[in-house]
Amino acid sequence: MNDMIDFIDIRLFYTKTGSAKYISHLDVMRAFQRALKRSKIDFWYTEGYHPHLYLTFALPLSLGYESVAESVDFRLIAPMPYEEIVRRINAVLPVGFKAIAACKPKMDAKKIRWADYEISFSAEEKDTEQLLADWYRCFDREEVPVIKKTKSGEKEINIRPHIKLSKLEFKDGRYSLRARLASGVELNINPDLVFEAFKVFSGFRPEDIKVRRTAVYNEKMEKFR
Amino acid sequence: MAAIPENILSLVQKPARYCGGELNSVVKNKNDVSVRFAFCFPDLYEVGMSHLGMKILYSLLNNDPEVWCERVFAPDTDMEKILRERNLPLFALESRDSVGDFDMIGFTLQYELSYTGILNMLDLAGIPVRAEDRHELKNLVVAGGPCSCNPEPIADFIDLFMPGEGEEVLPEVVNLYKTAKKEGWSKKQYLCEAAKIPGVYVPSLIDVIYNDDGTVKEFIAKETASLPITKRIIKDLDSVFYPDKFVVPFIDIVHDRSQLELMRGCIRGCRFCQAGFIYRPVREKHFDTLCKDAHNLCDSTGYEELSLTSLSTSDYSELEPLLDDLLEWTPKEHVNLAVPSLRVDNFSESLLKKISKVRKSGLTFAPEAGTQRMRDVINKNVTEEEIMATCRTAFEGGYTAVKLYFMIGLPTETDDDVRGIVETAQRVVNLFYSLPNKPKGKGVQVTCSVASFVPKPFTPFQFEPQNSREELHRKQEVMRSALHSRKINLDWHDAETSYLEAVLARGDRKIGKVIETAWRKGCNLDSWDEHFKFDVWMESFAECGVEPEFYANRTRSYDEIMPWDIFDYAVSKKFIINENKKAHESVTTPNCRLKCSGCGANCLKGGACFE
Repeated sequence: MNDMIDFIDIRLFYTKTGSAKYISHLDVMRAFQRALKRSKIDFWYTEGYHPHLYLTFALPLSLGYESVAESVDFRLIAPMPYEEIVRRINAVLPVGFKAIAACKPKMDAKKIRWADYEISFSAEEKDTEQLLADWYRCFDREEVPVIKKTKSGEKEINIRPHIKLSKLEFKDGRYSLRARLASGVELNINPDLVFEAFKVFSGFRPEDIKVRRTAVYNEKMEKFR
Repeated sequence: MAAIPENILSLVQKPARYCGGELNSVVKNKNDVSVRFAFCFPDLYEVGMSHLGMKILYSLLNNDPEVWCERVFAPDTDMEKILRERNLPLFALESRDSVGDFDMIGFTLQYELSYTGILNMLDLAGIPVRAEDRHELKNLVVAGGPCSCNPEPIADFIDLFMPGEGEEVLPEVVNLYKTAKKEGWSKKQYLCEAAKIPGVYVPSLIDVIYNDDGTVKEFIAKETASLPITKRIIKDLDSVFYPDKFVVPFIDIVHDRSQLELMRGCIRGCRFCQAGFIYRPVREKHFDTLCKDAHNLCDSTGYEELSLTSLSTSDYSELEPLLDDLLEWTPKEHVNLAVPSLRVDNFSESLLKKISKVRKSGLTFAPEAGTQRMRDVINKNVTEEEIMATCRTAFEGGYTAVKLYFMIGLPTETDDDVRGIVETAQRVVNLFYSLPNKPKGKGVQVTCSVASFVPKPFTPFQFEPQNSREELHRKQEVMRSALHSRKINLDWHDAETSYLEAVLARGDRKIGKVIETAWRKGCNLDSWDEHFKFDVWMESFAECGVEPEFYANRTRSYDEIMPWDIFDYAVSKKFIINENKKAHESVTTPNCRLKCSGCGANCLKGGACFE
């Protein structure tokens, strides 16, 4: 480790689906540490007192959500074709995780501003017409206030400018929609906050909410690469 | 169809405890196997997943293509509530099928306070808790592990016990089950055949007759059973199965690392230590076997830590060459070495140097008692000079935190012995400040963890009364008032837990109804302080007309028949009695490597333990 440039930055895109959605972000980090170690690829380790495999995740995913747009950065100390990296990592990932592509990182994770989600839920004890009406009345307002918990405490914010919701569809007993929510280091609107806002407005919280992240973007709506 | 709808996982804390899918977990097609085995650990996932025996037997059983072994842990209270409210069964992690679907249900008995957990898990699976209420061959409940050396308190609930080491007897029991299932045997027929397997104990085939005073009068073996039942051991640890893979959990568990088992048994013969007697004779794994096992495990798990496990790791005869080999490749592969269970007396400077290369945390030592007289009584062959020399080496090597393990309530103990604990800790503190080359800029921290002594079966102290709870509380107060330094942390286990442990450890079949009563009144996960309901236990004893003092606080005579005398654990009763007498005379016994004291355990091995 004498030369200044002695590693190659790699960004790996992967999916997290099925029961893997029950693995928390912290546990995912540990699972990746161990998986990458098993792959026997020559990774770069930090050089501090307790060297560890350098890993950094772009945008943490909440417990219980699926995603087809996750990414993690690490460093190699010897070049390797991207397909080879994907193949070798797929051979060691636990069930529910699948590497889809590797590349040189092109954007800084700090530039992430938006993420897309597919959301579905049920609301068995609620009349469909009533629920749809409440939903639109809630989110068509000029201001949609909700209490957001942050590290420094709780504060009320208006999420209206930070969310873009598709039409709410109802089919075979389940409601579904697509949502584009502000994401990233500056302001992160979790899909759960949308339901929290709905609850504040209607007093009702749907059941069996399923969430899948489908894409991550920067401010110019370019996909995170 | 799995019994458990996936969405309940989003309603509980730490859902990864229940979702399965961990690396190296084994999923088979249930239609391709003839026996489904539910390996149950009667405690939470984090505890059970740390247990080496389960890892060994899980891999071993799954190596048989006709068997699918899955894991089951006690659900935490939030999950239990959901299961009960929604009328859902306890399920196995791999298939998420109900435990009630399994042919064999095996429990590992690691500590006495997990007994109510067994009943609770059976009940959650919809299985009757009492063996006599289960009439079919299916759902056969079996058990093994250290507490099966006195399984009598739970004999009402378990169909079959396997005392001793499981790698050979468990497949024998499972293979017999395959035959029984194929040929349509009744449960009774299976149990009668199983009782012929060496080391298998079927409680329903042994009657226990009691004297008027409550002690055991005699055992009567019925049908195919015979007495005594000799525990099973593995003669050659180098040829026995050892897994090349561990299931790697997602969540942080108690021992989250690769574990390398160096040896079984212990040469020391500390008189209070059950493990030191029930795992005899001492058998070591060969250096080459260990090097191979270590590398396999690290490769297959990706674990960043490897620990060398045994009852007394520094007694492993090839420890230094083993460390040399491991230190050759572990740093390159970014694996840390952890070396627990080091004894204070043979902790050499070169060994410390090797270890400090890889691990820099606090050091723990177990002097166990605070005065030399007391240490002689318990045969902890460690002197004050050795404790101080070891601490000196540690301090000079840069350590500033030392943890010392002690016990109170030992046989013949006086208040001077109790105060001796704090005084020993104080001398360690003084030693630190007397060193010219002590670590700079930091104070010293000496933690004394003080347990209450629990007399255990098959030890020389099996005859001894436990101190009453009042006496233990008083001794804790004696320690507290002898404490004058803020550099010393004193912490102790509560006496109530140790009291219940003492009753269950040396209990007989009359305890069964107390366990069932306590469980029905809500006792479960008793080893967790926040769940332990001592008052409910005492109420249950009273309701059942059973006096706990009879089991915990009574001196037992040498000729009393103990509930566990159905077993031959290879160490002769004559040896145990002799050791007890020597304890009362403060006479020590040398360790097995210095001189064989003729305990009798080598008969299982077919020769001397040490040449």
